[in-house]
Amino acid sequence: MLIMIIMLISCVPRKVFLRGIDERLYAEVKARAAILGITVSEAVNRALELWLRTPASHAVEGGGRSRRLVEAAERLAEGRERGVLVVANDGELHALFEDLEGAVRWLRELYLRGELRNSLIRPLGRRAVRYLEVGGGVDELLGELRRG
Amino acid sequence: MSCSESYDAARRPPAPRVRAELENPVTGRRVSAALYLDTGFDGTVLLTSDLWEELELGLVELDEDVYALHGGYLPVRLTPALARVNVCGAWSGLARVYLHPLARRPLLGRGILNELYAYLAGPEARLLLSRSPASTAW
Repeated sequence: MLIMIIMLISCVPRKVFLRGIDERLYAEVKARAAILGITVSEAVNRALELWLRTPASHAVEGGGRSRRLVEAAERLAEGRERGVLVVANDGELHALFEDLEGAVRWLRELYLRGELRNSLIRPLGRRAVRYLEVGGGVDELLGELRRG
Repeated sequence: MSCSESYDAARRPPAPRVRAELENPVTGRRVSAALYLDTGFDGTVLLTSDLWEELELGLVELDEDVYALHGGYLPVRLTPALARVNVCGAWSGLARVYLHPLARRPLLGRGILNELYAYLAGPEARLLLSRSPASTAW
């Protein structure tokens, strides 16, 4: 366990003591902050800002992408290689479609009947991480990170 | 179909942007937004948290792992979803759009721009977008 001191950047910086910070996480934060040329306090402030800007539905469990939806999608996708799987209402409903348009039509029908609480659309096949380069945003983002 | 739009003169230097209609394909909720052209963005449309919330795109999220890379590093996790996009009448369709939690301005990337003809009339601070080269002014 680690006790962390955060210098909150506001009009008057202040010290805040936090218990229970994960040591591995802290080491990673420290390393990345060094790469970016910012202090750990600045990195923590930016992380807190990021969390506050995250839509409420993503910041709390049970929102748009609830754990139950993800687990149901994981289970139902097993062994399937083609098409699109849609899971709705915390996994209570699911259906398979050939394409995304079919998936959207089904969800819309549920929505119009007032029966849609949440949903997750999973294109089937080999799961891969995608990286999208963002050109125009880099100066803005780094400027934001180095602000202070 | 083509359209002509003024640059955002409030930015220094002025930046090309285009009006787009975004629609949640499930709820039908619509929002009009000015998207900044970003030929360095690999994707289609990058959205801010405000637009994402307004469109209620949490209902059409995709279970995919996507990260934004800034300047080749600094990965930021994106949330992908589906939206119907109409870029000033020149392009429309169901597209993957992405929530970037740090974005302050929505972007239009090459995922859509590569299907259009774009003419940047910088000195006049005007952008022309078209589906075909014949229907544009140049």
